[in-house]
Amino acid sequence: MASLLRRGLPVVALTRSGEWPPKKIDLNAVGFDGDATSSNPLLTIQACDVKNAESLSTNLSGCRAVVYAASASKKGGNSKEVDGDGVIAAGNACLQQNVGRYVVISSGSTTRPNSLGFKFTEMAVAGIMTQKRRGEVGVRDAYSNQSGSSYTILRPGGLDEPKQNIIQGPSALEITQGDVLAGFVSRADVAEVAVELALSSAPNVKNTACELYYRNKVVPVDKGFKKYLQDGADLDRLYGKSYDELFQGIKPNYDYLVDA
Amino acid sequence: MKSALAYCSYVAAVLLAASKNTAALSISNDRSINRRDALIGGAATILGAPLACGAASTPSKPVAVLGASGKSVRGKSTPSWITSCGTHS
Repeated sequence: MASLLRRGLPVVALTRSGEWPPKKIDLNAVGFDGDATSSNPLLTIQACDVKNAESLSTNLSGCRAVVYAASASKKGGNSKEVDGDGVIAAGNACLQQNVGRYVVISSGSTTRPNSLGFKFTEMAVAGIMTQKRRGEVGVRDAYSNQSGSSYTILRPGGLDEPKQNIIQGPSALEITQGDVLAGFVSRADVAEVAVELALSSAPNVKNTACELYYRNKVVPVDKGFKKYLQDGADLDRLYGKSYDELFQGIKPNYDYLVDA
Repeated sequence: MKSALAYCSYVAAVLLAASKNTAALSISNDRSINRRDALIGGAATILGAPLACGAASTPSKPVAVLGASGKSVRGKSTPSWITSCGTHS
């Protein structure tokens, strides 16, 4: 939200309660010190439940892009409802309402059920990685025959807060595709990249998935992927001083690397 | 015999991957699969997309954020072994 408002763009905050911002939020952490109330003409705050297809369709109507940042919670719904069904339902609503771009904030290692990251996270929040992957596949399938609208699945590494709850920007980041490398990244930088992907009309970021993490904290998603950290490995590790530069090498129509 | 078995395994892997709608399977001279990238859809799905449908072409329309009340910048710590779980709805 703050990433969009700071860019001077109209934004719709969709929450279950219809309230925003949350009491404890620190918008200064992402460089926004402007008006975060409904008196800001750029800001619309609406109630929306991702478990309700009608609510999604109504609220997403007229939007240029949608960022899916919801996940399972005690009050909001379990991982099947929010990370699986909700992701797919929002994608379908985007298609129904001709929303140009749909960006899903998923997770690194969703395609690696044997990795420690997948297993631990799956245990920590029951079934969440399985559901996130189901959501990714559902969106991919829903958009498979669409030419006007597109999606990007963003798979962040481990969320590294509060140690680094600031925006470090594109030069600190690395993007890869394949779900073989991961690392850590702050929510603030995830938000920035999600917004930039949502605003992008570059053909190469469409209908694809990519991983995001700080370039100084790169680890293999699974121990079998250490080879991709070596110089000369057959994997494009993307860097850039600007977001355009960072996104330049992203391949469209990509899901994950089927490793030997 | 060992070589024939290996080749059969390789062919099976290629066929299995192809049946799963994966693409870009390349057979190199040493019969290894160089890059087995699971591609989705096809290039045709993004080529020729009218500019009017692109997000950047309609700047006056809003961007919606689902899960906007998440703990994005609240500073709550996520254990380092947990991968990202998005924000909470």
